Amino acid sequence: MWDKLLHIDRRLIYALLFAVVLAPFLLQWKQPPQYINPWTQSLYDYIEKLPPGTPVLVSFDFDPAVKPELYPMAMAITRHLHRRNARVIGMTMLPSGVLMVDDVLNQTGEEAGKRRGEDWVNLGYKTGGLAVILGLGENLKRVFPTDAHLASTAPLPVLRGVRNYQDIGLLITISGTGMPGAWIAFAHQRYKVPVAVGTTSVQATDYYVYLRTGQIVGMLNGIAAAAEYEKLIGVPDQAMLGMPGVTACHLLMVLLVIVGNVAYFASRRHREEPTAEPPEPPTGEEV
Amino acid sequence: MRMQAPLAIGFLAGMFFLVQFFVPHQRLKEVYDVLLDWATIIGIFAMVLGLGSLFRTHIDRIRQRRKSWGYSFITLGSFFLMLILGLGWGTEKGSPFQWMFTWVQVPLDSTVFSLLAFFMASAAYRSFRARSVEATILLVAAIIVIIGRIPLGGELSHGYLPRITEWIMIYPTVGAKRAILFGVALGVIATSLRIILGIERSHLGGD
Repeated sequence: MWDKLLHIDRRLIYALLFAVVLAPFLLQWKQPPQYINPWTQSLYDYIEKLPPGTPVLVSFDFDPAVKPELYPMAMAITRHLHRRNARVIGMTMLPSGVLMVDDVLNQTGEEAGKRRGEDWVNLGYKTGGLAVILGLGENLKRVFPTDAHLASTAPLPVLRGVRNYQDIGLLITISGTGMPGAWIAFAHQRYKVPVAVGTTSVQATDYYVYLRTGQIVGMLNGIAAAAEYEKLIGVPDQAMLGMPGVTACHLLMVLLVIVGNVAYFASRRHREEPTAEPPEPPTGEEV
Repeated sequence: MRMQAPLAIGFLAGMFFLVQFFVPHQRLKEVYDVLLDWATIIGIFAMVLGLGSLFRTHIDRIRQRRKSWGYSFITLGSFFLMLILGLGWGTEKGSPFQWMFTWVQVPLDSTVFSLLAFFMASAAYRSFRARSVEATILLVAAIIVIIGRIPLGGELSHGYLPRITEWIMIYPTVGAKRAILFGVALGVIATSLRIILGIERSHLGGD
């Protein structure tokens, strides 16, 4: 029986996971965050303290693959920035990120009654990787002479007085890749611009190192942190909606690990149990 | 000459960036700005090379009717379709390009990425075993982090599990990560010096 459990058909596990992720949506189960992670709180507090009109550079360095996890946090952070009347300068280091930047900035801008070019801008994508990060430290308008819609950046009110990192109040990178490492190493270390990170849970372990050293001012770790941020700004949205599914999925994983271990040890014990030994053959010495 | 010229360029560029970092002279800064522009332009050429390589690989596969050649056809077809939609109707909100991106590319990419959860669930069931003391510690830590990251974990433990989770992430995890980072950083410095000084030549096609 234990062996059977141990070698369960993987399709059954897949079906179970599918059902478990789907069920909370159908049952409209709610799982609002009870505890705010200190790093989520520190990013929120940092933005709260920004004076109105502060230019904030947000690099949306994610592609459609990680959209379900990072898009909600991009929305929540941008909503908060608009509420604080920050000047939002959006860009991306990935070609497939351009349309998502547009999507986030258009939607949050419309909600907050902010205007493109005056309160926010999408600078789009530029090839070059590190050269772009370093170039922004020298002259932003030289790296991005036009925005994503090919309008000249020189006369844009949102970029008035913004020459390089020295004029940026905060740099936020939202990414499911190693890109925040490059922003920290080159933008923060060289030009001393304050950096915050929003990332997937898988990638987050890479950036705890920089939190401890104070190289980043805050971090959103996965969809759970996005839900916490939605709670902080008082706008429940996609992250809150996704949390029940994530919760159910996590609980199933724990259950699978426990059942897998119980089955493993039970089957091992079953195999090691001594069976009734046959009597020793007569040696001929006994009389 | 084919070997010496790239080596000399690598040496000069490497030494320039090294000196420029420590000597913030205006003249050096001007050259630095120009070199950053060059790097961006080279990045664009790299994209063109990447596209060339993509076409060559897939056209060869279709010509030779190699295994799964149909997928190559779909790759090239999708590429040209998006190119035509983008050039023809733009990429603004409501354009066919954006429609394809939102309703085809985003769901496809997200689906492929989310398959990871299914493999992880199956792998967790089959291989995550408390076979030794180290494996048991790892397993217990993983279970704490998995539960500590969800709202239910905080609710059931009155906030203790999320705090323990943070402790695990901040101390043992950061300690291990930092050790790895130091190793990587030293390796990067050593490799960079080898490339600048021309000792490492594998990037030029040599040994």
